[in-house]
Amino acid sequence: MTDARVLGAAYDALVVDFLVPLLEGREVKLAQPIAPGCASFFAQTRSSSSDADARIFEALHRGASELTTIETLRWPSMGLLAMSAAMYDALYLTDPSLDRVFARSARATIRDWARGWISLVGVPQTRGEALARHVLVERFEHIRRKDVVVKNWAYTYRFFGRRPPANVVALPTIRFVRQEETTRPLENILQREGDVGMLGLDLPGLLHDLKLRSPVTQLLRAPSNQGFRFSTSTLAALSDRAIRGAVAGHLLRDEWQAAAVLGVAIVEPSLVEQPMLLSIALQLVLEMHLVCALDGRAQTPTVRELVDPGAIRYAALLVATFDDERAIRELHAFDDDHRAILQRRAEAFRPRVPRAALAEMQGLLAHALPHEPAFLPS
Amino acid sequence: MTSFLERAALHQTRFRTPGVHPDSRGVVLGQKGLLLFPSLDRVVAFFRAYGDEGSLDEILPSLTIQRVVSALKTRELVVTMAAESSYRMDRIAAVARLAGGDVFTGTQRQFVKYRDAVSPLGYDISEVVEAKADLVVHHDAYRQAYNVERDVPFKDLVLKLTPYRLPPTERASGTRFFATAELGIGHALVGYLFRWRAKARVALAEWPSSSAFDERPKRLHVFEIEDAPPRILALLRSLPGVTVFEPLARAFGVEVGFRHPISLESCQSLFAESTLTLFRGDGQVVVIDPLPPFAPVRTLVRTPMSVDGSAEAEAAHGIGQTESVIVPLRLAPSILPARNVVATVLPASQRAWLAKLLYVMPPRALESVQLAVGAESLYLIDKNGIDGVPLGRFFCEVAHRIYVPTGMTLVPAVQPAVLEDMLASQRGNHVFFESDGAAPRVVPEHAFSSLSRSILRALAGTVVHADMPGREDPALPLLSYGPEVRFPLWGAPGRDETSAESNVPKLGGGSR
Repeated sequence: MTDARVLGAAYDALVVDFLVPLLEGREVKLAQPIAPGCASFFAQTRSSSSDADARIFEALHRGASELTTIETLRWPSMGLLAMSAAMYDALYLTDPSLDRVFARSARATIRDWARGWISLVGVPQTRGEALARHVLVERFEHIRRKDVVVKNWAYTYRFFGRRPPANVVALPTIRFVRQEETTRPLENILQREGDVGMLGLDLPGLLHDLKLRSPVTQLLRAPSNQGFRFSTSTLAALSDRAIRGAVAGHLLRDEWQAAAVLGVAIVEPSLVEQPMLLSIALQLVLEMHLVCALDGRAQTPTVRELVDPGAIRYAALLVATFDDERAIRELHAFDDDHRAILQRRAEAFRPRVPRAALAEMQGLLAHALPHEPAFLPS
Repeated sequence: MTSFLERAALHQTRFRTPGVHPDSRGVVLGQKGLLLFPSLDRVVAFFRAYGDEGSLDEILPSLTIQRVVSALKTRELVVTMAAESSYRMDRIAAVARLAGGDVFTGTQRQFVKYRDAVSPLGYDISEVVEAKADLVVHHDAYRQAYNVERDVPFKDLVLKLTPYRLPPTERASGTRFFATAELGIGHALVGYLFRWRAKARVALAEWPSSSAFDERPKRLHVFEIEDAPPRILALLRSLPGVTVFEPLARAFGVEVGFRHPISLESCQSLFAESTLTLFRGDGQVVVIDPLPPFAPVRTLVRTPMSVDGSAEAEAAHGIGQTESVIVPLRLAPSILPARNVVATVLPASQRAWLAKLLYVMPPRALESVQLAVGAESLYLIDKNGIDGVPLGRFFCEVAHRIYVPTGMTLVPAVQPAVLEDMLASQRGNHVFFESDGAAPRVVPEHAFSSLSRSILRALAGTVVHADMPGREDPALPLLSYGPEVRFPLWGAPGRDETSAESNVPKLGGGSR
């Protein structure tokens, strides 16, 4: 059984030395790897720093508020702590000094510990939790490392993520000491540490699994992820009206690239089988149409964009909405001017939407509508 | 029922109580009603309540108030009045019981309890008591003999009561007022009321010295003011030595903002028509008897007059000695009411007063008043009337942009058109004739500007940045490894627990 003082020190290392500087953009210090066995202790302890919690809350709240309105979020929460610990252990694995005798064998254990932490992260239960996870993942991806190469008249030393000792850089003039500093982002670190992958650690896969625990991140990066599919956690996040609005607004930065991905995701058989979940996904698409039309962001799709099957489905869904009696009844709740703008957009799409795609979307709408009384975004 | 009284029966005609008989309703009634009160404040309470309810005038002719003393030397107060009828006695009895008194009826010395709910036809005494007392009262709970100690005249009681202050919401806003002013301020008030054309009459009331040490008899100016604007009333109330009264009837009044404890309107017969009784808020009563003659204030305005000898000199020399008659335009006092008072001139020394006044002036006055600042004087003009600025010497506009002090007129009394022609060179400017006899002062039109624009210091705004706060993205975090260790897992926290726990529960986002 680990001593409580050691566990307390580990919590401080995670929160005070790792999480606070990560969110505030300062130097992140790693000490010893943390095993998931600490979870039950972490769930009940507090940091010894008097202001660490407040600073973390403030940073998370600020980052979350940039996406959408939020009243508060819960910190500390076990989901965020487990994600932080997984990041902590994953970063520990990037240390090249582990590639030594006796230390090398610890890598697989630490990787398993990171996976253990990830497995502790469930579906976010609140808007604040979902947004805070996205903030955490974003900050994690911005992490970088400073590598220093020190050369003197006789030797060359390499320090990865560590400062050179004083004796190495002493008497620079006499010993012809030269230093070269390179700051490398996390992505570059993972590429360079090829041996990590060769050892079968699959660090990129580990980080991918970690990002999957942040549904907001998944949704916001959908346009750049050709294999994007709606998951339970992403649909749960989208069921929150504020998050759905924020995601729709974000995806409209490149509407047709997002349309190509979403158009494929909404016809995923596993999603179509569950009409209630399907209606949430369709609401996202229709909200994108609505925001795009009413904010005046509408761009005429190029011919190439409407060749993409996903983009065609995206456009066809709006046309199909105006063909469905039940959907039109809900559209009556809109202001007349807004409804007219939306209808003009739909009519502009109609001649360019193939009949088959229109019929497919009409079927999809008919499938989802009975299960969602307030179908259209308001 | 105690042994003192017996209930009267219907159609009972013979009673042991002397002087009582059944009235038309069968109620036992004597010629008098008697109210027995334990203290004077209860008596006052009775009169207050009865005065508010009905008219005290109907009981005043037969009303007596006496302080009586019992054989045990306890002092009480007895109010007696003519019973008249059981209807009036019922009303009196109800109010008296409310005020804490007992009600009796009788004719001379023996008084029996007046009817109540227990005995609707009244009471009769069980036996007549012979006592050497002025009056004997028979109650169902007691029998008491009293001797009269002294009389308390009702008017004295009314005059000794101190009015109480009314809340502002209940204060009357009548149109007719009396005001008393000490002798020193009376003449100034006469002038003031005349200047503002208030419909007022004034009299001088005089009282003989109350002490041999007084130098002279006490004198007061008494004003009767009708249709006075509220500002005049407010001014008078704020003046030391002046008391404003609201007349409740022709012959009496109470200080504005106060009310007499007893409803004076219900006992008007107390005050003779030829007198004036004024109740001050501090409890003093001004009784003016007889009422001196009142005269309109306009007849009492002081009009200083001087005999100019130059005209006689001219006459002595003979008119023929001068080829033409050229006279200077002069100011002379006038008793005509001031009209068209649109300007005021303040000496520069009163600049601070004007500055203080500006903070309380209403917006309309601030907007309409024009101000010109001269080296010696400040000139203020308001075409709608300069009432809003109670400072300085007021001026009337006698012709277009030609002003003379109020209470004065230009002589010879030439037509306004003639004046304008005489000052044609100053057309467009404002000409002020000062009472000091100096040449009229001309204030250029362009020197006047709206008071609201000319009084304020230049406003220097402080620029406040209302832009969205700059978004400061946090810097990119920098990764730093700890010291190199040979065995990284040695002492790693939670290692033992991880190997021991095979089933770690999955934790949701919000749970902790």
